[in-house]
Amino acid sequence: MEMTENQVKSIALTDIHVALGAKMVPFAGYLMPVSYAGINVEHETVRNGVGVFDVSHMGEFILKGENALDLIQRVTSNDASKLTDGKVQYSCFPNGKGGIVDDLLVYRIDDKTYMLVVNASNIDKDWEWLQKNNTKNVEMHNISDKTSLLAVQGPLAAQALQSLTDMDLGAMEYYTFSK
Amino acid sequence: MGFCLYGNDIDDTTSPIEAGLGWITKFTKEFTDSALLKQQKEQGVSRKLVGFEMIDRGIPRHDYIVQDAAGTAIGKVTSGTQSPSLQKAIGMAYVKPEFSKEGSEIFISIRDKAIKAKVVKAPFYKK
Repeated sequence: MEMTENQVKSIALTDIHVALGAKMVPFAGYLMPVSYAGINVEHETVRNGVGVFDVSHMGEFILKGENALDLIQRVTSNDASKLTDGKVQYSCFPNGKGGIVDDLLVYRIDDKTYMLVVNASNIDKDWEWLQKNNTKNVEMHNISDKTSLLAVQGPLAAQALQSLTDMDLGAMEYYTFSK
Repeated sequence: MGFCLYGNDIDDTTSPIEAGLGWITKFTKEFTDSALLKQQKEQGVSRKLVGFEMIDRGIPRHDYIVQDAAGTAIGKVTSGTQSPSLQKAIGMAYVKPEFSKEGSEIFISIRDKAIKAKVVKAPFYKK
């Protein structure tokens, strides 16, 4: 997709990234901080220590209501009925022609509230696909533009974040969340 | 790790079964394409996404052609790079099922030269 500067959506921390010397590149309609120090040193840092990725360009949808799970079950390939509150599941939307609309993560906030995290480049396509399949009045909110997302990754990730919260981050299990 | 990147390894034309995403495709319920995907799982697919590592020198890239030893096209690279952790060139590709087994010898066409590679099991990096 061709894009001029003024069509580029910015993420909340854009000015801070720029001030800190990040290399900003256009990605899926957003300016994304792609690198600070170079790919190899950043790769090693995440493998051996901890790194933070600003993935705020990614999309977030909230699905709410009695039929939220029913909608998710009909449009995704994995079995979201296995989720309990605070659990996350990797899944995909098959496209009705044997292909894939997108891959995504499904978060169960409670039994009537789910969050879907989707690829930035597919936000509009996914939203339309969900709306088309939303035949039972599930309340849908596209909160992508007002949601920031930082992925803190690496063996020291929990330790790096621990001073920010009273929760015991080291005790959190794989593919779970808390608020 | 061998995770799929949308737009590279999976897209509107690749099925979750072809992409090795059978583990997130559950036939205990009905969903978009569930009958078709179940049939693919039972009867097999014509291509499979595999991980591979280069044996001879060369870095695979998206859309490079995969060949057999005779030079016949058997698939296409979806992702590829030089792995800093493994100090090897690695990639992912859709190949015909008969070449999808771990250890299968395949060749990546890099600038018109067939460079030897072998199919490996994901994740590439085991800590």
